[in-house]
Formats: sequence, C-alpha cells, structure tokens
Amino acid sequence: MKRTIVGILVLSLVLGCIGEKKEKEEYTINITGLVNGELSLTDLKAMPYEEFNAILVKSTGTKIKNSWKGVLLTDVLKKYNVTPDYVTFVAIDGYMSTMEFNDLSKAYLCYEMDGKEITQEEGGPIRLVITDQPGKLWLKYLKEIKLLGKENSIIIKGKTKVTLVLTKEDLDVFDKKTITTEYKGEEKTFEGIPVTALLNRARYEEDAKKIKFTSSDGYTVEFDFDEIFSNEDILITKDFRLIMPGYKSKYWVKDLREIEVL
Amino acid sequence: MKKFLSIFLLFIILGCTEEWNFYVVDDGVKEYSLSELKKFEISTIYETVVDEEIKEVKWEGTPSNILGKGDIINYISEDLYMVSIPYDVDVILAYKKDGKSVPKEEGGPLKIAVEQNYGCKCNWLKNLKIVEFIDAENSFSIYGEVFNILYFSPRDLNVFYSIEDIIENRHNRVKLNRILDKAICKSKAEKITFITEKGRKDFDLREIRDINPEIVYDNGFNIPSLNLENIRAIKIE
Repeated sequence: MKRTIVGILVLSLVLGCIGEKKEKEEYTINITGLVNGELSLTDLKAMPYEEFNAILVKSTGTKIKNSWKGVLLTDVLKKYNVTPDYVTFVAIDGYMSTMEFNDLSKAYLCYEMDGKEITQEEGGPIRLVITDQPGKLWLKYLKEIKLLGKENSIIIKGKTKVTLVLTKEDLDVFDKKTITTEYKGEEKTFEGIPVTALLNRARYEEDAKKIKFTSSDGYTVEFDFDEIFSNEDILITKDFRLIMPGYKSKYWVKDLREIEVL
Repeated sequence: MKKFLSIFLLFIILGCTEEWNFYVVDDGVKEYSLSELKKFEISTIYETVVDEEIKEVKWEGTPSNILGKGDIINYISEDLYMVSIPYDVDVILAYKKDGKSVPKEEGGPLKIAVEQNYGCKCNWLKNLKIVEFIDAENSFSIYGEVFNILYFSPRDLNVFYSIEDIIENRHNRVKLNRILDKAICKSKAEKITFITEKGRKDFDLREIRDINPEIVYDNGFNIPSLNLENIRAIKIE
C-alpha cells in the first residue's frame, strides 16, 4: 500500500514537472544556414562556460563594465563540425548583424550578467557579447544564428563600404525586375534583382573601376564597373544566375557566389 | 474673460503641438507643413518591440522616395543629427504610431521609420527637419571604421551650424574634425585615406586630427592646406 502511494506520488511529481515545462516554453536559439539545429537555454547552461569581465563601448563613447558568464560561439558550433565564412545574428526584434567568422573568436552567448540571469530589458535570456567589438554588435535577445558560406550565399565585397552576404531568402527584400531578352537565339523572360540595386546597397566606393563575378566553381568574368553599374537590366536571379542582356552567353555566370568591386 | 483666456491658451497649445514644418531639399528647397505631408500616400512599417512582452508597433507616414530623387537620402533632425540612407531602402516620414500622433518624447510629431532589416535603430531619426536628396557625384562620403556612414553635399557643410544655415546654404567650409566627429570614428581607427579624382592618399589619423584642416567646397571638395582637390570620399581604418 505504502509503496503504491509513494509510486503514485513520484509519478504525479514527475508528470507535474513535465506539465509545467510544457506550459512555459523554453527559450531556444535556432541555428540555420549551413546546418540546422536548436540550442535551448538548458543546453547552453550545460556546456563548458567562461566567466569574464568585459567593457561595453557605446557609439557615444560611454563605457560600461560588467561581469558575464557564457559559452564561446566556437564551442557551440563544434558539434556541427562547420566553419562558416560569415555569421548573421538575428534578435527577436528583427535586428540583425553580419560579421566575418574570423572576427568572432571572442564571441560568447551569455546567460548571466553580474552574477544574475540576464533580464529581457538587459537583452536576456541570451545575449551576444563580443569582447573585442563595439557594443553596437552585442545583440540582445539573440534568437537565430545563421551560418553563411560560399555554399549558400553571394558575397559582395572589395571596394564597397559594407560587405553584403546574401542568401536566396535575403534577395526577397529587393524589388524584382522582369526583362525579356535573347538568350542562345531564343526570346526568354527572366526575373531577378538588378545588380545596380545590390551595388547601391553595398555602397560601392567612389573610385571603383572594375567588377568581377565569380561562380562556385571559380569561373570568373570581369568588366568595367561603370558599364555594369549603369545597366539596370543586368539581373541576378533567385537561383544565383547572372542575366546579361545583349552579352554573349559566356558572360551569363551560373551559380554566382562572389561579386568583387575593384 | 477668464474663459476667453483659457480658450485662447488652449488654441495656442493645440496650435503649437500641430505646427511642425520641415524641408525637402532636391534641386531646390521646399517647405512642407505636417498637414500637407498627410495628403500624400500613406505607407506602413511594423516594428517589433521587446519590452516585458514582445509586441508589434505600427508606424504610418509618407514614403520618403516619393518626395524626390537621388542616390542617397540625408535626414537631419532639429538638433542637427544626420543619417544617410540609400534611396532604395524603405523609409517613411512617420507621423502616426499605432494610429495616434507620434508623442514628443519619441521624436514626434515627425520622425523616420526604417524597414526592419536595414541596420541599427540609431537610424530612426527623431524630430525630423530636413529630407535631402543627394546626388552621389556631387557629394563626398565618410566610411570605414565609423559608426555612422555619411554623405555630405556642399550644403551639408552647414549641418554644424543651424537648420537655417542649411536651408540658406550659408557656409562652404568646415573643420575636418567636426566631420570626423559627426561620423563617430571607432576608437581603434588609426588611418585616414582621402580618395580624390587623382587617387588615394593616406595619413595618420591622429596627425590629421592635430592639424584639423579646413575642408572647403569650391566646385569640388578641397583641403587646400593638404593640397587635396576633388575629394570624393574619406575612409577611416
């Protein structure tokens, strides 16, 4: 009899706990892009952590010192066995920032500040802290870690004020254009984003002279920058193909991965 | 009599809260009132705000790109803060937040709201006074290790003086340090490169700050004391 009661008691306790857990959904970060995974707050807390002091530098120059507890990003990514070229961090409020993976050796996913859990106001429950970067990049309420590389994105770099790393979904943000042109002797219709729009977004430098397009297999074509920039009919399709109306087919680069302004 | 006075006061107060003029600078300068702005088409931008709960805020206003044409749009606030945003980014001149006038403490009655995937919230300029359409050919930019990438038209050399000075285009020169401070250089920056029509020229940033030369617009942006002509950009590294 006693045993049954104890059994039921334990069972109800266990059930109770499970029930509670379901009620309060756990905070989880999605890892997307080159791999797909999830990292819950509990997973994160179970990992080897570091405790350190860091100084947050605001854009106004104000400095704020706090102690933090968190896990190195590189340790989080270890189990996926992946080395991205770039990482985009996305916060709950839609704020995003993209950084080169090489600049993230001191990036931590933190869950405690000054010995306490990080409140939502302070950017919790999980906040990105990059000890050697300005506070502007310490994303609050981190929700998604998007891993980017040549496998899934186009990189626009070189003489640009901003390096752009765009996945196929990112291209949806831009206004599309449709053109009809001759390709290999046939009239065809293509839909894509004007390269001009992408170069404007990357903010090309004033002394840009050349532009180089490179495909995933290393095939490269090069043009005068002004020639490409002034032609709004040159498009990139959603499957990363370069549409070059009036040019020979060898210039229509397929599987485009890199646009470099020189 | 007392009643009269209070009605009169009420009028003044109401008048003050509604009265907000701003300027659109394209080829010329045009002044608009808030009520004139409200006659244009309305566009909406949603903002996700994380407070105690996560909620959506609806901003309504006029899309800025229907007011003019340019490569870049500069937005200048009453207290002379400036941001430069590419023309094709969705930006609205917002006068309504969740259906009501934008409150003063949030930058009302007129501020800008920017599409969510474009950069930092610091672009959401408050108390908007000037919208200026910039032709990249006739401006210089400052970028690199700065927090605020900016484009300066000849007229924007007045942004260190007053809104009126910008509108009247009174000055054609300013000390370089003021431009560097407007762009907010990062503390690790060490090098400054001037990109001119003749090529690039590098200097030590600290040395240049000590000299603090004057940049002058005279059919091109020049720094006479450094022998630099037709400056197209300043890169900080």
